[in-house]
Amino acid sequence: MVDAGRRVVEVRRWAPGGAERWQRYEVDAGADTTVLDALVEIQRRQDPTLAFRYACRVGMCGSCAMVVNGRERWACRTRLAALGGGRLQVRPLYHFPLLRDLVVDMAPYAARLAAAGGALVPSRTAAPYARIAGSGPERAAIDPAIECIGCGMCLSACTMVGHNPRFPGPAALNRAFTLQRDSRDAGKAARWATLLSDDALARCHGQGACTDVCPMGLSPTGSIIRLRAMATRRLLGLEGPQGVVDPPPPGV
Amino acid sequence: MIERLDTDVLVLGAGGAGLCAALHAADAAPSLAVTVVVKGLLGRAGCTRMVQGGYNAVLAEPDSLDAHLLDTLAGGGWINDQELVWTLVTEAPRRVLELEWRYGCLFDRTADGRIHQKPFAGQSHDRTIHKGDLTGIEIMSRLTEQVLRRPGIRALEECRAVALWLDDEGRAAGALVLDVRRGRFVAVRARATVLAMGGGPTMYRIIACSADKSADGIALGHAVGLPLRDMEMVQFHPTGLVVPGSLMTGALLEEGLRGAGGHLRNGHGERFMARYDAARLERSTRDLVSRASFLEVAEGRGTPNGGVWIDVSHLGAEVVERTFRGMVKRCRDFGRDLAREPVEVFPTAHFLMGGIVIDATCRTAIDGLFAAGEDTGGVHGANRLGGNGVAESTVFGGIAGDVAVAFVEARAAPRPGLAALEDVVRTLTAPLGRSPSPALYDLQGELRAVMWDDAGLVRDGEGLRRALAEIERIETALDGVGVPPDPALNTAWQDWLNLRSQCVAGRLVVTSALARDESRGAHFRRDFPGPASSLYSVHVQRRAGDLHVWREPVALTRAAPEAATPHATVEIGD
Repeated sequence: MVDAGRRVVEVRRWAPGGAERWQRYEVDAGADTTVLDALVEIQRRQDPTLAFRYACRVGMCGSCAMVVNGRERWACRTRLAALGGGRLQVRPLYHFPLLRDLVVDMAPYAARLAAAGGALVPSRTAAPYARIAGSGPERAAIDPAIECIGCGMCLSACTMVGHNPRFPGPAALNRAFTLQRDSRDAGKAARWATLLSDDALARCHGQGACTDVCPMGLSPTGSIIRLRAMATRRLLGLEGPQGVVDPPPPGV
Repeated sequence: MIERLDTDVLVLGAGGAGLCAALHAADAAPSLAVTVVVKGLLGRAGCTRMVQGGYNAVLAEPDSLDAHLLDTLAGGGWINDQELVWTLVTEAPRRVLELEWRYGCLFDRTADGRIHQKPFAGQSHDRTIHKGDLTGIEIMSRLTEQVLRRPGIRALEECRAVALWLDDEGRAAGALVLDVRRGRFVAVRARATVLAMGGGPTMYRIIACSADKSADGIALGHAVGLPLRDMEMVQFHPTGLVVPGSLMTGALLEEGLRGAGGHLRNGHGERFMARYDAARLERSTRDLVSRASFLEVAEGRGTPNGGVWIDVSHLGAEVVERTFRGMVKRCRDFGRDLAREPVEVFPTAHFLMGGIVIDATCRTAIDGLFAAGEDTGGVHGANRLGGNGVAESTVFGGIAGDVAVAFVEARAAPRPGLAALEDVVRTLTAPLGRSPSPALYDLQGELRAVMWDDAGLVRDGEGLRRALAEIERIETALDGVGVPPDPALNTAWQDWLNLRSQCVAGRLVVTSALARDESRGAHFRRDFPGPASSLYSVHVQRRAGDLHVWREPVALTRAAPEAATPHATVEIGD
């Protein structure tokens, strides 16, 4: 096979009661070997104690998010060949409690999402079958922001998440944006109260690290900017029907 | 040694079926405690989130419930349980609207704002509701959010059920759960239990389904003596990506590529479908295209990596990039340019049609135990239509939740004994005390190989009997294999447990395939290449340690084969 070669993989190891350390392995890599393939090979053939997490293994579940050579990536869709030569360094996501080796506790992700009102509140009066034009402004605003797989890479990359535990983080703010634009949702007022608190929208510094690492190509940064624009219009009393505020023009 | 937890409704599994069961139970009775056991991370384990194509539901004329029923029965080779199918087609429209207004899903719309429905495999009308080509992510993300905002639901993340718990009268009383993170066992006592762990043909060499599945629900149901039906029916999808040496192998390339006019070629460059289905060529049905590709490779006409080529480049690179964005990206991550060149594909094990016998209210043969989704059999018969899978899981999951609540309200808490669970713990922890060995993964590879070679797309009696002996050898060998001693987050131990379940499910597939001496739907016997004149389902059940296999005639309670109308021939979907 082309591109086959011996690759050095350094993996951050830790188990309760021990010290964090780097452990060095070597794997035979083919043209299509992914980071996940390398970890599976190490666990199966060299070190059965290595702990890491994956589920779908084809880029739909986001369970295998980790930091590879200093950048958040999904291990299942990252080929070693695409990372260039040299050694490979793999460590767990930042800003989540470490459980073991590459496995972190994702509970803070869910907690931040829930705290930011990241779920539709059904309207008691709305028709069950909402008519929403496929090409209308509501869909145009929501569609590019909705395909989040919940991998948590944006929280790991975000400088504010590590600094302020009350900051909802990029994924939750991105979801909040889609809900504030959703005419079916009845939870907007409560969500605005959270979003306009001292620890939410105002805290994003716009560095864009979340957008840089999103494996789905979403832009939480853009969603946050749009939420701020909506908040401004709302404060100025320029809201549309059902509490929906028109978004700023595209290009943000 | 065994920790204890009490709950009212215990839901095992957290895909579309499990989360719908939990949400329905919590909303029907907010004061009840609902506990969901998730093998991986909440909302991200299992196959519902891998759904690309969509959700079949009848929303508007000229489509009709009868048409959806007949399409599903014809697709299923007429061995479906017709009462389950009728429940599916009548409840699906309600569930889709519930997913929208109650849970927040936003499916694709037409220009005038109605839910968009697209044509899909074997269906007489445009019926399939979708969110782009990532419908499953939309459904699972929204269900997960709703679970998080309901205080009555507690999710046990990275926990897996390893045994069902019965009381002295043989009624369901909960489950023994292994907390994977801590490596501790928890006996969860429940007044009603819902089994929704999602089947999954991961005992095959090449798979499309989520790799975290291991047919645990099938194995657990079988262990407590539940009858299972049509376990021989395993769906293979024709176009799984070939990625040599990578777990990515078997990942689906959606059938829309063939529907849109894609060509399949063998290693010699021939469009081989002309020899198998001259009229429909690449647009033939899923089972036929899969079998044809398999035979081309088996007869020495494969590509360099043992597959066939799919080529859509003649449609125009710009069209392919726009229409199949997700598929193009999936290929590009692996250095393949789907828009401009042929890509190697091969059939991939996708779905278990067979499973635990249930009635239309998700009741099983055990009092207090309900089941829904891919763990169950009968809805899809011999072949599942694209778009009926997520409909099944959400429809029956919701029903199971409702029915479990009604059951709980009429029942006192069971008082099961712990002794049986202590035996299970001793058996399951045995490998922790043996020295670790990579032989575990040799055995895993051997099971996958024999299932693929002898119980896969083309079967015969001799091969199936060989597979049965091989599975027995692997199960015996597994009893001697060790794993590292620390039980917490122990991947090797989890894989040992997975392989146990996969052996059980594999044995049920092979045993049932031997009992069906005909070819129908996904099940093809080289030694019985035609369909039998009678319609029957194959049942298998463990009784006093022995495997009993029998046939039951299909009850044509809603429609008979002659009522079927001609069907669309283009297969598109998952």
